[in-house]
Amino acid sequence: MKKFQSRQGDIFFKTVAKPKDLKEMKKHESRILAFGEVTGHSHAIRTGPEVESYINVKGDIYLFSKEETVVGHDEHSDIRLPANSWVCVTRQREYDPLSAERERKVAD
Amino acid sequence: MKNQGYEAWTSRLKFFNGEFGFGPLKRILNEDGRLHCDNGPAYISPTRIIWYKNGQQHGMDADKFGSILYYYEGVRIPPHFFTKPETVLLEEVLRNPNTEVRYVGMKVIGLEKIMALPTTKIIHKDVDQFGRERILFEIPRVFTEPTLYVKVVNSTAEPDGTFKNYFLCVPPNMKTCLEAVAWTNYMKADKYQPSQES
Repeated sequence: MKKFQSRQGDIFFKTVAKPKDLKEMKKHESRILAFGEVTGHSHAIRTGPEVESYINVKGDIYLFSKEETVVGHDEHSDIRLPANSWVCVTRQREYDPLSAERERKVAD
Repeated sequence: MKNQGYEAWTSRLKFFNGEFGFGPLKRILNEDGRLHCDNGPAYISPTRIIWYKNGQQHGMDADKFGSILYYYEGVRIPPHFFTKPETVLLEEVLRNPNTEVRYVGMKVIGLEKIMALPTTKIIHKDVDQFGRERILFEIPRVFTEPTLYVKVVNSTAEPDGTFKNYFLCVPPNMKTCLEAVAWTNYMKADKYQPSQES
């Protein structure tokens, strides 16, 4: 597996082994990976339709494509995800002393 | 004695609520196409209750129930960030759950002023692999316990060539900027090696 890590704003991408719990995840039908509440901008897949996409209960998204996948955003440069690799897409977190989990996803 | 006219008016307001869009009266964009105004609200929408009966126009235009919204470069901000910037408190800015609003609030107060406060404790400073400055610092009284924040710089330049600062809350046991930033991305410091950031 080719090691790859990349960040686009508050979204982090890293290559992972094929998830073992893929069957427990939902198909992620949208091409939008994350949405900014205040700015209205989104991180979205901009290449063709051949991208497998699943989402787990925590909101992490797993992508697989036989071709290079381009993720775009209105205010950030494109990120190119490697072909033939599973990529885990996570939204950045921050510490939240008021919540039971002591953390929350970053909102922008 | 009850004011019948007022009651009729408020009942009409309730009746029409949601059925008629309130067209924007004022929508100010900067040269980058973002909602922004340097001397007032960037968006004002009036309440419009107008209808026609027997060829006659009825109703009213009023701004009392409309929206008056302040924006800074596309980010909607609390009105007092603009109207009374001297009253903006560091604690309320850092407590805001949205990083974009936090960015504007910190800009209103001034980063240099915050770093020079006697209550601000700088834990660690460094420069990341892309040459951007990071600061890990502690602020008291944001929540019940002293709270750590890491200041990071956006990788993409704004249209005017400047770079936004973001302030992320991190766990109290963080010792370095790298450890704090890696934690925000679910990584350990020694494994966090992004080849590209935008």
